[in-house]
Amino acid sequence: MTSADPTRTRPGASRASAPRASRPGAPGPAATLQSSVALFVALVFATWGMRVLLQGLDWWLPLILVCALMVGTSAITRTLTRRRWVPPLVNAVVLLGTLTALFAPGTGLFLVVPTARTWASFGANITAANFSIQTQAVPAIADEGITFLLVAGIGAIALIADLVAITLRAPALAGIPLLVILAVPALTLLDLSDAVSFILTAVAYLWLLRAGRPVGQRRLSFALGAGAVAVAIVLPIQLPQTSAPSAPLGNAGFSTGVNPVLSLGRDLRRFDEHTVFTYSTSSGKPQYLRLVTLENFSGANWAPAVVKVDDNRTVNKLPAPPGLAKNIVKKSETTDVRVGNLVSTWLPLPYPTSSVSGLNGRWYWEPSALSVSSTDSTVNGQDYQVKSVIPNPTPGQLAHAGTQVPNGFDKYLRLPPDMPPIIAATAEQVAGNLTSNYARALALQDFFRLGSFEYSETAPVSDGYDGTGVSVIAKFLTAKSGYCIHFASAMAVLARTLGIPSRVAVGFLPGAANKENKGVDGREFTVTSHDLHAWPELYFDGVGWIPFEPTPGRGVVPSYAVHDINLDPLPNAAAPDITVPTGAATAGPRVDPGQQNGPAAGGFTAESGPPAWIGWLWFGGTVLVLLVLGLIPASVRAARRRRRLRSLRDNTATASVAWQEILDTAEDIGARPPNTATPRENAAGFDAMIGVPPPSRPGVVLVVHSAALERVLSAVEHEFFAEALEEHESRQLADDVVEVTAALRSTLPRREAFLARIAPASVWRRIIRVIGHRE
Amino acid sequence: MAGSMMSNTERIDAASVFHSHASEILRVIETVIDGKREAVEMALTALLAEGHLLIEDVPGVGKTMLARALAKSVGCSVNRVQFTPDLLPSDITGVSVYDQSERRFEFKPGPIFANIVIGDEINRASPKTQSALLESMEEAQVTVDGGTYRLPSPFTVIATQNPVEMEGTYPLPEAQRDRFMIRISMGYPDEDAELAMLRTRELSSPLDSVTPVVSTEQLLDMIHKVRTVFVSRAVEQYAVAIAQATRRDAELRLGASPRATLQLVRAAKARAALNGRDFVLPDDLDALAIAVLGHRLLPTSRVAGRTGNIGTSAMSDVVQRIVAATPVPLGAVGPA
Repeated sequence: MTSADPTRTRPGASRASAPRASRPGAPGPAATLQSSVALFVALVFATWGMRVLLQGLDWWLPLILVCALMVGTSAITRTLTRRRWVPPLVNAVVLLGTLTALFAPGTGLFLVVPTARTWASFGANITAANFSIQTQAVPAIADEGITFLLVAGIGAIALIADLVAITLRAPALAGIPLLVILAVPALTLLDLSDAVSFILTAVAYLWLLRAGRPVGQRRLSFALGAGAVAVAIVLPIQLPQTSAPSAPLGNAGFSTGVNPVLSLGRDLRRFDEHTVFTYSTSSGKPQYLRLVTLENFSGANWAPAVVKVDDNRTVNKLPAPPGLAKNIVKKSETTDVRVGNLVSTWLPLPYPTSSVSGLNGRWYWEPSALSVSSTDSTVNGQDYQVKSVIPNPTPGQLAHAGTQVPNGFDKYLRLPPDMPPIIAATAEQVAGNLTSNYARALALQDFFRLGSFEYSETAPVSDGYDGTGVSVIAKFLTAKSGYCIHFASAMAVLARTLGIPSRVAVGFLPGAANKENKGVDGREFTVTSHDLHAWPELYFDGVGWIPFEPTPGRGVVPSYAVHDINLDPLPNAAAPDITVPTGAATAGPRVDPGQQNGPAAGGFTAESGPPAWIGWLWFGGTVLVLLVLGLIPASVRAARRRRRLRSLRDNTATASVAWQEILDTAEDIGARPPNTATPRENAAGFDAMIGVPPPSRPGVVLVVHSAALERVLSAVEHEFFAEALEEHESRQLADDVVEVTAALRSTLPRREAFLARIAPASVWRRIIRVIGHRE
Repeated sequence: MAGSMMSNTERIDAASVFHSHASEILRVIETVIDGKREAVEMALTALLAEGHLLIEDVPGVGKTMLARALAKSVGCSVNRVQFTPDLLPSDITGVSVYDQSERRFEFKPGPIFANIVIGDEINRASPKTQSALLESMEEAQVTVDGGTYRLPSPFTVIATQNPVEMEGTYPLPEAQRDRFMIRISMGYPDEDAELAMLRTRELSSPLDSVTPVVSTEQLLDMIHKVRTVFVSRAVEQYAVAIAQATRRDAELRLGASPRATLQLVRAAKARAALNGRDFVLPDDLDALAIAVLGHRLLPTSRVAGRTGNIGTSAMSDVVQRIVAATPVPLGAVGPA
């Protein structure tokens, strides 16, 4: 039987004959339990990352429970059986039973056995979840449909993660299901903003890697996992941050609905301007169309009033707007709206609307702001007619309102207790000495619109104060740069500090008159995604809610709010300006791609982009990172060799270490010894490679000619198979290893020897074995 | 020197004594059998491992010569039985004869009562006679007419047989084959060996010059030394893995028995001792697998159809393949 015979067949069925106990690397029960706990922790942290998508934390508990259920069930099952297919099967059954009991109560046999009705109920849940996801804005409310989807999905992911990480003992692969969970918020919001949950999950993942490996492989698997996590951190940073020309409104996921706050800036910054809806008015004049009004200010953000399902609140008749007195001049208007690409459950409407017709689905109004919302439909593709009565108060009427605030308007004055002092100070400075609310409102509008503020869609993001909270407003007042939502929320908050009831309206600018496609009476207006806008509405006793326009360069100032005209305002003073396309009127750095010729089209202006050297820095960094990554296997191999030789010289290692180093070297140079050959057969094979052919004397123990190899072999044979260790000098073994491995490497041409060092096969095989552990 | 009294001293001396005795035996046998070192070593291995040896080959290649040379080289009692179709069981084990003077039956031991029994052409005897050997080979005792008689120690059967397709042969039953520890084939001598044989045989039978080089006590000492050879857990696992693989193999109808596993390890111990080691290597199992396992396995009809018979070479291939495919368990670290 010659050594290292290439015709030796690979081990097939006989492999399984090795007794289980001898299998290297089978973790004990304690290690398995630790793996289970680590996996559970990783899952919990990964699911926590979804909090950026969902409101509150109520949805988290069911997810924790289902993860615990999956990991725990399979841990218990593993103690009862060794068959690897059993735990996932039991898990699947348990998951199905749990879903049946929780989400389709009363449909299952004995509560948990699903029936046809259960599946129908699941289907309904999925439909509801899909609708909910399409229509809700981030952060979404985790209703029953979404919770069902989360529990089912996370349960399945936990099942898979447990299967690969613990049952199949490939903990590195568990990173994939974990990454799937982490990727959901990242894909939906298009940024990996949630570093905390990412880091926590990564730490738990590394723990899982460490716990799941036998001691000998821990170092390598840990290094591998740490490398993967490092790449995962580096890559998102490397990706250009504003390179997300996302799908048009209404394609996938939460963020596509019009989010009152979060997605406003994002939508404004989008490159792909697209038509949201077109409308025509009976008067031929353009209108602001409002989606929703944010009236509850928590200090951290603005939130809309909730629309209740109430059959008395259907849209064929809306109530009169609150506070509007009879003596105000009003003008009836009929607006035809054809919605194109806009997925929202809020209806774009002029304020105040008196009735809406032509809608599909069930739509309800909300009494305080007269916003209209649906429980089962979106505005996407709808074609409807709106009747409205637009008040046009004179400045005199407004001034007459004085500083009175009617009862029940406290919530429009509510402010958080701990506001940055700059807010109150600014309000006092701008309008503190004025007497009427109207004069104060005008002063505030002028402060923003005519003062030193400038419009910028990017400044708040790059300086990190995007949003509507009090701290953002304080920064905004200092930086004096922002876009509509900052102006709107700042003016609303300043108004509240001055005692004027205020709220923030989110909707669309009037858009541009469409020249080719004539509307009903010759004027049709096209509103695009770039017309998304926010503005403050202030309340005046006897007049009601009226809008202001503090954003410089955007929109039009209403006639009653034009400062210079105080006694005889032009009715509809806004009209002449409105034909100017709003995009061009933007004062900020935004460049409308449709109006830009030349190579710069489609990008931000230079001042908002990073300088060129940063690009080169990134490029160099990437090359460096890749270089370092590429050298990892070689350095791992070299470190392992050094460690082995050192321990041999220190006399702390046995001959098997020397032997393993020779085997690894042989593998590196492409002569991996088969594990079906005895050490002596392998040694004879190396002998032949080095240049000494083995004597062909069958039946006699193979003689190894290389003295160094023979010494190592003899020592290792004693270690493996003899009763007592052979007396040998460990230091001598180290020298022998150096001699043998050098001789083995010298059999390769120089180029291949170099490649063997750069990409050592022994390391790669370990990596593959760690990833797809199938021993 | 051969006759020198055994030294009962230290371990290292025992090892060197063992080694010198073994080389003496091999040297003596090789004066008779030229160029068959492997077969000779296997024969000695069987003797030292207290196993029985089956030599199978065509007539005239020196089967009997090897058996007799081995028997003669050690100073033991030797009996030779020529098996024929009309041989009766009692011709082997012995008979009870009525002693008129003592007025009782007296047991007359048969030729089986010897340290080394040479069964020549064993497969020419009827199955009935063959099976008479069964008890004695396994248990080293003979039961005749209600009386049980112990066989001397050491006790080894060296049987020769012709391949089954030869005329006038009865194939050995499986149970009997399983009792032989090692089966070897002689094979034809190479050119030089055959020439040398021509020259030496003309004058006298070389067997006449063979004298015992080891006494019975010395042989027992050697056997005892073999028993003490260390077998590591890894080697035990390897032996079991090979045996298990033969039981699962698609080409085999009958795999190796547990007795076969036991004898494989015993033979490996003897081989290790012959090679001057006090522990068994997996290589020993590899080297012995064909000789120990080959004659015990039954192929499926597919293999028989391929080779035309259940011949030695076909089984060797199967055993070799199984051994080559079985991972070698190592002591401390996992297999590479």
